[in-house]
Amino acid sequence: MIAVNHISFDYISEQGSFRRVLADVSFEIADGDFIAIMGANGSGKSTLARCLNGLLLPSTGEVLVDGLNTRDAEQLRRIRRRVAMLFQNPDNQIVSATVEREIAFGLENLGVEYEEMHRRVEQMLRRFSLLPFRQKSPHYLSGGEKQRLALASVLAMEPDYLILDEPTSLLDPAGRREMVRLFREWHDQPATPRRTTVLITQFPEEALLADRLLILQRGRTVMDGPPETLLRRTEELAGLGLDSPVRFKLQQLLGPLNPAS
Amino acid sequence: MSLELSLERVSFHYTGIAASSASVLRDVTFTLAENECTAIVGPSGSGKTTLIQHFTGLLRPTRGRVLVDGADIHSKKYSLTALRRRIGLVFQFPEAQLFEETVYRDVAFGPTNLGLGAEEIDLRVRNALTLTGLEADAFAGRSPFRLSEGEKRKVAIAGVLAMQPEMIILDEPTAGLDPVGVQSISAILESLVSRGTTPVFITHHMDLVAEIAQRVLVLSAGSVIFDGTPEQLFQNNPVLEEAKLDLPNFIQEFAAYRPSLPPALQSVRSYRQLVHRLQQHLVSRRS
Ligand SMILES: Nc1ncnc2c1ncn2[C@@H]1O[C@H](COP(=O)(O)OP(=O)(O)OP(=O)(O)O)[C@@H](O)[C@H]1O
Ligand SMILES: [Mg+2]
Repeated sequence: MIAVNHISFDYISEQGSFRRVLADVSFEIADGDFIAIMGANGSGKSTLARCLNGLLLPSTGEVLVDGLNTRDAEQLRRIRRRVAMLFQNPDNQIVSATVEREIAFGLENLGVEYEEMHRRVEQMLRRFSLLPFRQKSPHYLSGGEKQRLALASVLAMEPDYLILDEPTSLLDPAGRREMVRLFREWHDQPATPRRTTVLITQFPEEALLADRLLILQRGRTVMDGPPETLLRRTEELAGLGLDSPVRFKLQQLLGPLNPAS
Repeated sequence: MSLELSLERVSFHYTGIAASSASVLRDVTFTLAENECTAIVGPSGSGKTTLIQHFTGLLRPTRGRVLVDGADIHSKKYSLTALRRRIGLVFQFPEAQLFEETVYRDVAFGPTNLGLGAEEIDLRVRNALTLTGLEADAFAGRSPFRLSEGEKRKVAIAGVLAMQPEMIILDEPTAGLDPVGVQSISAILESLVSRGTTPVFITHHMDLVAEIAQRVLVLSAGSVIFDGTPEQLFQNNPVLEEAKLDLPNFIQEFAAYRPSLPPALQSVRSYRQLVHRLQQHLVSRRS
C-alpha cells in the first residue's frame, strides 16, 4: 500500500520564492488497485507521480510505501525497487548501447545474479516482442518500440507498483494499443502482493481502464471515484478543462433524439 | 505573403552510423499551397519527421529536389537562413527547441533575430503566449526548463508563432496537451489560414484531422500513398488499413446514431461540428 498523507509540494521559483503545486493531497493506493489520474497541464500530476517513489520529497506531509517513508534516505533503495516509473518520452530513460543491455542495466544495479538476470532478460525480450532487436542500438527503434523497451526494462526489476506518466501520449494508435495491452497484462497477472498501477493520462478512454479515477486541479484532488461515474459528468469535467469519452458525450447529447437505442 | 513549397520526386536515406540500407523517403512529390491546412499522418517510422526536415533544408534529398517559389533550396546561392525565417518548424520534443533563460526570451528569440523593434517584439511575445493558453505575465520570467511537459510544448509553439512565418510546420503539436490546449492549437491553426500563413501538422490524432484539416497526406513506408480531403480518406479503407490508421473516435461512435438523424446532421465529422449544427437545426425548426 502507498499512503499519501496530506502532502504539499513547493518548487522554488526563479526569484527564490515558493510556488505551491500540490496542496494537501491525501489518498491511499491499495495493493491491486488500478488508479488513473487526470488533470489539466500544470495541475501537478507529474509532481505527484515523482513523490510516489521519492524522486521528489513533499514539502510537508509524507508518503509511505508499504510503511517505508520516502523521507528516510536509508529506505530509498528499497522504495525505488518496489515502485517503478515510466515517463512520456523514452529517450529520457534509455541509456544503454543495445536493447538487451538496456534490460540488464537495472538488474545489474540491483545486484541480481548473472543466471537470474539472464533468465529475466530472455523472458522480457520474448514477452515484449523485442527479440529481433536484441543486439541493436535502441537508436534504431521506432517511438513505440522504444517505449516498449523502456517498459520491459522497468518491469524486469519486478516492481510491485508501476507509475505510468502519460506513457502513450507520443505513440501512434497501434503503439498505444500495444502499450495498454502490455501494462494491463502485467497488472492482471497474479502475484503477491497484488500488482498495483497508477496511470496518468489525458485520454478519457484510457482512464476507463482503471477502477478508480483521481482528478487534480491546481494541485488539489477535486474528484475521486469510479471512472465510469466521474467521466459521465461531462459538464463538470469541462469546467475543469477536461474531456469525457466521445461515447458519453454523444449519449448525453443525442440520447433523447434516438429512441431506438 | 505567399509561399509555395514543392517536393519533386524526393528520395532519402540516412548515411553514417545510424544508417540502414532502406530508403526513408521514396519518390515523394507534392506541392503545399497557400491557405490550406494540411495534415501529415502515418504510422510510427513511416518517415513523417524526416519529411518535414526536408522543408527547411535540415536534410538534403538523396535524389530529387525541394523547391520554394520555384527555386531549388539546395542550389548554390540559395539562403537557407532566409528560408528558415519564412518557414517555422516546431519539433516533436519541445526540449530540443528551448534554450533561453526565461520563457520571454525564448519566445522573443525569433522576432529579435528578425531585427524587429522592442515594442513589436513585446507585442508578439505576449500575443503568442496568450494564444497558446499561457498567461503571459505569469510565465514570462520563468525558466523554460522548469515547466510541466504541456507548458514546454506551448512555449515552443509560441516561439514559432511569434516569428509570424509564411508557413508553419508542427510535429505532433497536441501530444500531451489537455483538451483546452488542444482546442487552442486547433483555433490557432484555423486562424493562421485566414492570416495568410500556411499551417502543416503531423499528428496521430485523427479527430484533430477531421476537425481542422482541409487536406491530408498519408505516408506509409516512406511513400505518399494518399493525398486528398479528410472525407475521402475516411472512406478509403485500403489506405486506412495500409497505414494502420484509425477512423476518428467521433466518427466511429457517431456511426450508430447517424441513420436516425436528419440529413443536415449526418455529414458532421467532429463533436464540435455536431453541437454547432444541432444548434442551427433547432433554431431553424423553431423559426
Ligand atoms: N522543475 C520545476 N521547477 C519549478 N516549477 C516546476 C518545475 N516542474 C514543474 N513545475 C511547475 O509545477 C506545476 C506542476 O507541474 P507538473 O509537471 O507536475 O504538471 P503536470 O500536471 O504533470 O502537467 P502536464 O500535463 O503539462 O505534464 C506547473 O505549474 C509547472 O509549471
Ligand atoms: Mg506531466
